[in-house]
Amino acid sequence: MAKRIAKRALNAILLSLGVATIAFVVIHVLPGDPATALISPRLSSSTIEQLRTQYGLDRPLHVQYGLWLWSLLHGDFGFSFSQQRDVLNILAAALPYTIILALTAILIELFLGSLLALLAVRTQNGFIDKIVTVGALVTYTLPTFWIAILLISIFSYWIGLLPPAQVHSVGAERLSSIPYAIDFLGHLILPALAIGLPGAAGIARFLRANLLKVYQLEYVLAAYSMGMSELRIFFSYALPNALLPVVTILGLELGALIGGALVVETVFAWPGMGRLTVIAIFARDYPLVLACTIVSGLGVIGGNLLADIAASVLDPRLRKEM
Amino acid sequence: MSLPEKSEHHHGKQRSLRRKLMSGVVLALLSVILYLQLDIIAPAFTSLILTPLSLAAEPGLFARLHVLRVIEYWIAALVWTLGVAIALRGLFAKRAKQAPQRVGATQRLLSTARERYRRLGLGLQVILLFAFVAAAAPFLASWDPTAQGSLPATRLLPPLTRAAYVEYTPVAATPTAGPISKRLADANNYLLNRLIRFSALEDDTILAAPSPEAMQVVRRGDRLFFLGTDHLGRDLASRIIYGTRVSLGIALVAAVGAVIAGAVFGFAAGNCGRIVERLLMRSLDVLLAIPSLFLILAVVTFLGSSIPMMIAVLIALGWMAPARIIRTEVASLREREDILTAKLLGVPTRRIVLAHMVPNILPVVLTSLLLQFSTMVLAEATLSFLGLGVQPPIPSWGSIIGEATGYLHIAWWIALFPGVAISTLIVGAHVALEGWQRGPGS
Repeated sequence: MAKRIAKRALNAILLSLGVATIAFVVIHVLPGDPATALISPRLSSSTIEQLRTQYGLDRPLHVQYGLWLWSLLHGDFGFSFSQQRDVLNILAAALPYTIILALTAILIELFLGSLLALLAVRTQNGFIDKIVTVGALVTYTLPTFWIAILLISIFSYWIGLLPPAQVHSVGAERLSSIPYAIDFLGHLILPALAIGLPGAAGIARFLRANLLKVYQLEYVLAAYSMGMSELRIFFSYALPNALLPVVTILGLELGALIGGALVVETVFAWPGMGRLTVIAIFARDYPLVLACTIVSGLGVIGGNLLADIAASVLDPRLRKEM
Repeated sequence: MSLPEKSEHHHGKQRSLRRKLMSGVVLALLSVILYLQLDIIAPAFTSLILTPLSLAAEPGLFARLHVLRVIEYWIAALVWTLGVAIALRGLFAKRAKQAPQRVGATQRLLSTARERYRRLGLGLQVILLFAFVAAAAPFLASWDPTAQGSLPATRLLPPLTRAAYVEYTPVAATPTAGPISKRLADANNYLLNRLIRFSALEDDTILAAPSPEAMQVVRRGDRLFFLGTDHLGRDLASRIIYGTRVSLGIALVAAVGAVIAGAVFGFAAGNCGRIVERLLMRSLDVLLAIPSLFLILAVVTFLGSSIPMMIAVLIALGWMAPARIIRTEVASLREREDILTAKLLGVPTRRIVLAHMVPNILPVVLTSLLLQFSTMVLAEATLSFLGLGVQPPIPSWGSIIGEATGYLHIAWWIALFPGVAISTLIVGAHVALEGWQRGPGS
C-alpha cells in the first residue's frame, strides 16, 4: 500500500516537472515578449533594455529556464509584471476563492447526482427515470458558459433573487459577520451551480448505470435470498460499490477545478484562479501565466493521486492488486 | 412462432408509415420556405441553370461573373434540390422487401443491432440537419447576418417583431447583350448587391439608399424578425443560421484532423518497440495534464486568432485522446491470433497494418470522431464566447452568446437561441455516440 502510494507520488512529481517544462517552453516559444506588452513605444530603447535586464529577459532561454526552475523549487514564483506584486501573494489571494467554489460545486455534484441516480433507479424505466436520463444527458452536454448565462438570466434578472456577479455586494464590508456570510453565500450559489449542474448530471448518469450493474451481481442476489431488507441491501451493498468509481471521478474533477473554472469564473467575475489565468494571459504576464498553469497542472496531478489513494483506501481489492 | 412474425410485420409497416410522414413534413417545410424566400431562391436557381448555358454561348463571360461570391447560392440550390429529391423518394418509394424471418437468438441480436443503429441514425440525422442548414444558409436566412439595419428601428427587437423595410438593388450595368446572359447578370446582381433598409416602427420614414441614383427600389413591405435582433440591430435568426457554417465547419475539420493525427500517433506507438512506446505514452500523460483550455487561450492570445489558426490549435490539443484510445486498441490487436499468424507467415508490416489492423480499428475511430466532434463544437463555442475565437462581424454561436452578455437583463433571447442550437448539435452527437458504443449483444 505505502509502496504503491510512494510510486504514484514519484510519478506525480515527474509529471509536474514535465508540465512545468512544457508550460515554460510554450510560453517562451510563442512570439510576443512580455516586454512588448509591458513597454510602450514612447520609452527609449535604452530603457527597454534596462527593463529586459531587470526582468532577466535578455538571458539565453536555457539560463532563464534554469533560474526559473531553481527559484520555483524554493517556492518563489517570481514577480508579476502586470500587477507589480509577488506572484505568490496573488496566488494566495485567488486560491481560497477557487477552493471554496470547487468544494461547493463538488458537494452539489455528489448530492444532486446521487439523489437523481437513486430516483432513476427506484423508478427504473418509469416516467421519472426517463426524465432523469434524458434531462441528465442534455444538461451534461450543455456548454458551461451557457448554463451560467441561463442561471444569471433566470435567477438574477428574471426572478431577481441572486446577484449576477462578484463575491460581495457593494458595501458588504460594513455588515456584521452573519449577514456578511449570507451575502457571500448568495454570491456563491450561482457559480457553484453552473459548475455543479453538468457534473451532477454526469454523475447521475454514471451512478445509475453502475447501480443497475451492481444489482445484477451475485452478492446482491445472495443478500436478497437471505431475506435482507431492500433498504439495507441498498445502503450497505449496492450504493457503496456503485459509488466507488464516482469517488475517482470526483477526485479528478476536484483536481481539475483547482486550476480554476476559467469560463464560469470569468462570467461571474469570481476572483479565483480561473479568472486570474485569463487576466494573466491577456496581460501577457509570463510569471503569472506560468504560475497559474503550474498550479492547475499540480491540481490535475494531485487530483489523480488523491483519486488513486481514495480508491485504494475504499476498495480492498485494489490494495491487493499491486 | 406466429407472434414475433406478426410483430415484426407490424413494426415494418409502422416504420414505413413513419418514414412517409417524416418525408411529408420535410417536403412541406421545404415548400413553405420556398414560398417565403422565393425572391432569393428563384434568382439562385436562375443563376445556377443559366451560368453553364451562357458560358457555352459566350466563353469570355466567365471573368465577369463573380463566380466565387455566387457559388454559395449555387450550393444552396443544389442542396435544396437534393433535399426535395430525398423527401419525394421517401414519400413515394415502395416499401423495401421484407427481410426473411429469423427466429430466437438471431432475432434478438438483430433487434439490439437495430436499436443501436436507430440511435446512431437519429444522432447523425441531427448532425446532417445542421449540415443542411449550413449549406442552404442563404435560402434559410432572411437577412444578411452582418447587416446592421438602422439602429433606432431594429435594435434589440424581441422575437416575432415585424419591421417595415425597403429593398434596393443597384441599377445594373448590363455587361452583355444576349437575353440569357442579361437574365443571368440580373440574377447575380440581385443576389450579390441587394440592400435592405428598415424604418423605425413608429413612423414610416425609411432611410434612403446610400446613393439614390445608383440604386432602385425593388419592393417595400414588412418582415418578421423570427428570433428578434441583437444590440446592433442584426437579425438573430440569420446570424444563427450563418453561424452554423462557422461552428459546424470548424468543429468538423478539427475533429477529423485530430482523429487522423491521433490515429497516426496511435499506430506509431502501437507498432514500435516497448521503450519507445512507453516514452511516447508518458509524454502523452504530461500533455494531458496541462489544462487544454489554458493552452488554447495562451496560443490564441499570443498568436492572434483566425479561423485556420483556431482549427490548428484545436487539432493540436485534440489529438491526444484519440491517440490514446487507438494505441490501446492497436496494442490489443497486436496480441490477437490472426495478426500473430499473419506476422508468423511473414506478411510485411505495412500490409498487416493496412489490411488487418485498420479495418479492425474503424469502430473505435468512429467513436473518437463523434466524441471529438462534440468536444470541438464546445471548444469553439467557448473560445468564441470568450472573444478569442471567431472575430466579429463573422457570426458563430459562441460569439453571438458572448456579445449578448452585456444585454442579458434587457434581451434574454440573444443568448438563449444560439445556446439551443449548440445543445441540440451536441446532444445529437452524443445520442449517435451512445447508440454506436452500446454495441450489439450488450
